[in-house]
Amino acid sequence: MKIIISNSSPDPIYEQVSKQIKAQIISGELAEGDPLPSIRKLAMELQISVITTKRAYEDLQKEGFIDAVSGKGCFVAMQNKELLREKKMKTVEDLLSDAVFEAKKLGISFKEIKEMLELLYNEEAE
Amino acid sequence: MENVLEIQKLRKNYGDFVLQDVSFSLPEGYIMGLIGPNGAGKTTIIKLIMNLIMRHGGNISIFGKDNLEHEVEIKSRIGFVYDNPNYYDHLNLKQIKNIIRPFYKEWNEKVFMDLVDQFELPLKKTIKKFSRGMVMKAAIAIALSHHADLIIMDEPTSGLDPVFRRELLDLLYQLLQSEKKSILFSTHITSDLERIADYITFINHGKIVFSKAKDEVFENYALVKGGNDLLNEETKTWFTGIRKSQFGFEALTDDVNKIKKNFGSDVVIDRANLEDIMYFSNLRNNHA
Amino acid sequence: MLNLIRKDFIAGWMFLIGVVLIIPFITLIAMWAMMDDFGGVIIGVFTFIVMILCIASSFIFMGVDSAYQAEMIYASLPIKRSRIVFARYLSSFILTAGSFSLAVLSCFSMVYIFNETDPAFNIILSFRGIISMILFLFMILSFIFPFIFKFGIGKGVTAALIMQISLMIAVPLIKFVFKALQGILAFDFAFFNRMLHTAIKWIIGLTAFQAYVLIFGIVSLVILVSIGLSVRFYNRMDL
Repeated sequence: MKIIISNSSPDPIYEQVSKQIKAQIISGELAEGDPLPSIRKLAMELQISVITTKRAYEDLQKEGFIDAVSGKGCFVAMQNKELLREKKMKTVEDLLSDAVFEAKKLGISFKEIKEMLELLYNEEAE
Repeated sequence: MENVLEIQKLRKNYGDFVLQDVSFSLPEGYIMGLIGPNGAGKTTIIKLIMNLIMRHGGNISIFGKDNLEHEVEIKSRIGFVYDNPNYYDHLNLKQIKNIIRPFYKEWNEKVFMDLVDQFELPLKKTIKKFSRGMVMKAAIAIALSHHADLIIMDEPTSGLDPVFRRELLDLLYQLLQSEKKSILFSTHITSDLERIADYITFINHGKIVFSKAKDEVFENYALVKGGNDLLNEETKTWFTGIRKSQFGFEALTDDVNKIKKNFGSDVVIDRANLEDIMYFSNLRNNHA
Repeated sequence: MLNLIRKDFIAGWMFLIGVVLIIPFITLIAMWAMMDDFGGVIIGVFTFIVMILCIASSFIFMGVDSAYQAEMIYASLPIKRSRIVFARYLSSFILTAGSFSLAVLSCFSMVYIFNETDPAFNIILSFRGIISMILFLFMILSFIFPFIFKFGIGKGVTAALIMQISLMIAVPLIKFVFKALQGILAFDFAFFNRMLHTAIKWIIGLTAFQAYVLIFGIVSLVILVSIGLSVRFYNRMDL
């Protein structure tokens, strides 16, 4: 599991943690049933406060990404395949919507964006 | 979740300085930073908790028990580190340990020795020859060697280099791995607490300004910067401390959303750190 | 509590060396001076100096703790403040009795070495004399301690001394005032005088055993009251 905290990010630290864990669950890097470090261990490793990691885990729990097993800790929850795909779609959708917003602001046409998207997509494939 | 420390309406009158209406709690298993400028009352609060000075009002309960009625029982579970630890200069660490050790039933010699090794402290050298950092480390080693459940530190890092301060934080993180240990850490070097503290209690001029979870503090407080034209009688009241320069003002707000709503993009909003909060809060007091 | 006394010796034993050296030294000087037949006066002065030294030495440990501000540490340890007070009394009494015993030993040694003696010495160095002196020292300490536990060692000792001197001045002063008032108020002091004489007769009439019991009783009472006050004061003291 990889988590990097940035002090210059506009996101509060607990959000950075939960977002990154969420992303890894969605991408499959963290599989169902994988154990997560305890909130105290995580706090120590990342050098942040226990309450922050607690909150990150609580948010993840609320959104259904992880389960807390009393006495044992937190584990990646069973992911509903449909829901997972939806979440993945949403991630990309959000990014695209940002791009569209910027494009409109800068006066770039849909045709130009489409061309850009094709180039970029094919570039990645090589 | 139980509170390991509960303070209610604590009061102490020194004539020219009064500690009043101090109330806050520390839940078990967490670390609370007690911050405030010099002379704000941090040491007074700690002395009151340890019953070194008499209180003039209020209650203090530790581990769920009144700190006066169960003084001995409570103190056997508290590890304390004071600013300028007072040890006999002419003795060495081993002798001092031998003086203190018999008072604690739960003393663990192995833990003490491990810490002495970790801190690289000489056992046979007189304290007179210790650097300030070494004296602090010695005090910490002693405080942590009797299975204390509550560690109370009064300015443990003042006068010490940043490297040591980081090492101390590492040590505290390790302590906190147990859910049963709690820490109260008073300091005016707030950068030490920015990351590790779970709760922050800010005291100024003998009064509690706030006592909250640290995340909550950072969510609500922010630095606001804008042109001087934005300041008028009404808007001034939205800030808890304003610094004006020729080119604009810089102020602290405890309600970021309100500022965002009212000023929108006319102002720049920056993250406030604990030092900013302390500095600007003090500014306000000086004007009030 | 033993821990508290133990720590006193760990932290302060080197300061005792001074005491251990000074007392025999002073004894030697006194003996040498006495050989010039100033007997009684010398013994009086000598005794006085020894007593002062004994009292002073009993404050050594307290002084050490005060100088290093160790009081804060002890008050933070899991012990009651009353324990700290008891231990102080105990270690001070031990030091005083010890210093005095050392002085007595020095005297005996000198007498033995120089083969000289003085009747006054025999009174002081008798069993009764020694016990009385030590008890008297305890009483003086008991008088001083509450001041120390209320005001700290520096101010406390000063305050106690001022009190003692005032008392010494006050007694003849009061007597004088009473005498003066006697004429004006026509108060009958004969009653008090009679009481006093009866008491003195009774005291003289006591057997040795009874006298001891009475003295121990009074001294114990004084010490207990003193401890009671000291504990009270120390429990309220801000450190």
